[in-house]
Amino acid sequence: MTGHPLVLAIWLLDGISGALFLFAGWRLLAILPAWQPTVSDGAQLARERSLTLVVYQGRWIFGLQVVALVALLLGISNSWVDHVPGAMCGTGVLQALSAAGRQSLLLRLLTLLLLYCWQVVVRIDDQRPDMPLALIHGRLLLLAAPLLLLATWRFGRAVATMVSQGPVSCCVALYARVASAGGEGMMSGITPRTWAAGCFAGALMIGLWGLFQWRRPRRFASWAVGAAGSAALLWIGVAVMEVMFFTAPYLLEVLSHPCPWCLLLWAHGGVGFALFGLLALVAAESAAGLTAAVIAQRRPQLTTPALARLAQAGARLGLSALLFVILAGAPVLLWRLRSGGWITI
Amino acid sequence: MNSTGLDCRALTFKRSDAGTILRGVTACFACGGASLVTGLTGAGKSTLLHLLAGLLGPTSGEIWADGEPVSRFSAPHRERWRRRVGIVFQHLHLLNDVSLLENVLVPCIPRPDCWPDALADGRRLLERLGLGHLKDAPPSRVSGGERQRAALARALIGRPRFLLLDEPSAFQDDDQIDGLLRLLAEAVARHACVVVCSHDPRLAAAELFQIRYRLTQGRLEVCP
Repeated sequence: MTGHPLVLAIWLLDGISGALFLFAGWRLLAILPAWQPTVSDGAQLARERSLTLVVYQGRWIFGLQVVALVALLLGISNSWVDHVPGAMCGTGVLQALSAAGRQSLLLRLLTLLLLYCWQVVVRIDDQRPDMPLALIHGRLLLLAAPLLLLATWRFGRAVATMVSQGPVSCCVALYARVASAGGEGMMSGITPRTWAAGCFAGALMIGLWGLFQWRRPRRFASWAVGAAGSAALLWIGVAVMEVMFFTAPYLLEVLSHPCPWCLLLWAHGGVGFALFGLLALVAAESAAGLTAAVIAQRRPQLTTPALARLAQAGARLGLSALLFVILAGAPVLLWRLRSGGWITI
Repeated sequence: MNSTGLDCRALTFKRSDAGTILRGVTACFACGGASLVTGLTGAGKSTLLHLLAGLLGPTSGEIWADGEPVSRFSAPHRERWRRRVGIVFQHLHLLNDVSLLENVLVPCIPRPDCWPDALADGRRLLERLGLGHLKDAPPSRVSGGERQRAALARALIGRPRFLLLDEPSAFQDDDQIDGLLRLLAEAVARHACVVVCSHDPRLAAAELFQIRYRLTQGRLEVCP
């Protein structure tokens, strides 16, 4: 298992990212305390050149970590299933990877979210020739370093655990959790239709919010964008439940199988990658919108590019929610058209 | 400090292999004026011109253009600003695989404002420089002087705000130098900033240049 190509690829990508972080971090620790934008001596000009290089390195780290996350998801959901006795999908593989595997996954998501916000700051900063946000994006990049280090370390622990892991119970564990929570839904009293209604209503609201944010970015204060971002995160939770309890039966053609990892199996067309990918985009654009709104409010010289990014985040947010609804609703409607009935209650 | 033109402030440039080339150069090349920089071979004239054009970054100090610190711009901004610069390189750097007219039009590629009249302007400039009959010839088929005049036409297309010329008269006879000076005078009249680096005594004698500098041991001094 430790020699599996995807494990090696993730090690390699983490290794390169780590090396780049080491160089970038080393430079940033020298640049940030001595940063003097009003001075034009040789040392400051060298710092400016160094920071430009750090930005390029940060972009590479982001790209490499996106690939590493995709490789990890592919490994958990499909490639490593055959290597874990008893596993049929990513749920079983994650059990074999133990808590360290889940932590690594979560830490990678957090690292990428932070790096995405860093990219937003850099892009807005790029609109001005004098780099007024240099210190902020430098610090943001430094913040991502410990997260990546932890993610790599937990991944190592997870792979080591997986080697000595006995058979797992895979989706049976999910059935047990569903049964203990009251049957059809994870939370007792909430039916799949309620999840679906909540998800579609939420998507509509997010779509409308995104539309307004796109058309009228100037009207949105950072607290409002922050509140909308929090609501979007809440909606993502509802959307995940909707996928597991309402849409999944139509995709998996099994009455009650609330397993998100099964949707990532190639056997089911890997439709989960699109569904959860769109939800990830909603989270990323909510964070991007908040970042842009804060910059627009606090840095008057960057208001125009920050508002443009806020508008772009609104458009992407609305479009992602809309696409998600179409993708999650299409199998249900197709089933209804084909069979003339519903699976879920 | 929002002066128009190119303003060098304590400009220093060092190369690891050649030591310090420019030492604390401070000078203002105003718009609507022509300046001549003379100096011995290897004094750093071309380096100064490349710094002014944003092709090199200073080791310390700044270059301000029309009140903006262009030498400290990040790469995308510097590249956009460079579209306002016309330059004749000492080694010309013409593209051998295309015609003289196409060479002249090259600076218009990233400049949409330049396009509507670009073809007519290119032909007109080549005619004025005595190259009208050679507009379809590749640079390898024309003489050194003709290539240099084509490079001048390339620098002038699109009416750049900053015009930088490195030894523009090296291969020209006296008649051609008169034509060159007339073109530079027209650029000055439309309020461009013209900086010429040369050690040609024929240019040193021209009345066009209001300010003459001499570059010696990395320092720029105003000549009386």
